[in-house]
Amino acid sequence: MKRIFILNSVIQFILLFGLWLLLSGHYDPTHILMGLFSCLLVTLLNLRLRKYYYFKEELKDTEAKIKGIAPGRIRILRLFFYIPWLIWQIVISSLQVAYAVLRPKMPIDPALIRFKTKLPNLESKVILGNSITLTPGTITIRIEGDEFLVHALMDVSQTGILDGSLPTEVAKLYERTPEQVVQQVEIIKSSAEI
Amino acid sequence: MEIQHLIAIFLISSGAFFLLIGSIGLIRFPDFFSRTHATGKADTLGVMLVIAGLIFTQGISVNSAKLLIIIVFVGITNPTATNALARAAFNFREVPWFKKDKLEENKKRKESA
Repeated sequence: MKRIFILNSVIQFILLFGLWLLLSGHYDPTHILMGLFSCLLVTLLNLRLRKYYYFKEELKDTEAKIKGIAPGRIRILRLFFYIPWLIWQIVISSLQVAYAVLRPKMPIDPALIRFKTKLPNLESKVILGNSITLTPGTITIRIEGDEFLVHALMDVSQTGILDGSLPTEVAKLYERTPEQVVQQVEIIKSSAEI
Repeated sequence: MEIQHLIAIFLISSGAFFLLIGSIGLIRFPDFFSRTHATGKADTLGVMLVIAGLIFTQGISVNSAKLLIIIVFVGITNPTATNALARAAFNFREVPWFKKDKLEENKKRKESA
């Protein structure tokens, strides 16, 4: 395990320094030394973060990757469809929030939604979590194992999750025809039910 | 006045509009979670639009490529930060505001009055 930590950190350092060289555009010793120093600092700061496994699955995923049986591989071509779709969703969500903010009566009816998903690995859960936060009126509060907890601002905003269209799009990044992705949906609408 | 400047003006002003919406929402919404909706979403789109407008004023150059990278970073980090805030609040037992609770509270107040 220790070897993976060191390898990961070295890779991170190289990537950071490459980005620095790409972006700075000055190739004299002073600037390169400054870049080396700051990249080293960032890597050292991240070293402490890397010691903790925030999710047990990360360990599982890493081990699977070493053995070469990583569950699910992202389909790059699908991203070209997914990203424009996501940007369109962001525009809709911002307009909805703008509507809710500007109406004097403020038509909001918040709800917590708890559901389980069938996604292949940690990476896909991160993508789903961030996508939920960006799409109409919903933010991810917590991801625990396969269980997502989502806060929805209005009734309209729940539909994307309830009919499973958003998680299905994320699952399609990994498989051509995913099975039923969303399961055991539970809607909480008062503080007594939490 | 060229067409690219017109596009840039349109993008930057709509970005400023969404940033304004985010700030108004931050003040108007009733509880922490609804407020993260206002900042997390409207701000992401606002910042993205402003930077996209800057790309149009800049034209095709190294600087606009850098700005494009910044758009990608904002798109990834902003929802992550929103999620971190919401999770921290939930772990510290922050109870979301619900319409039903509010209605019940109003009913009780009417009965006691």
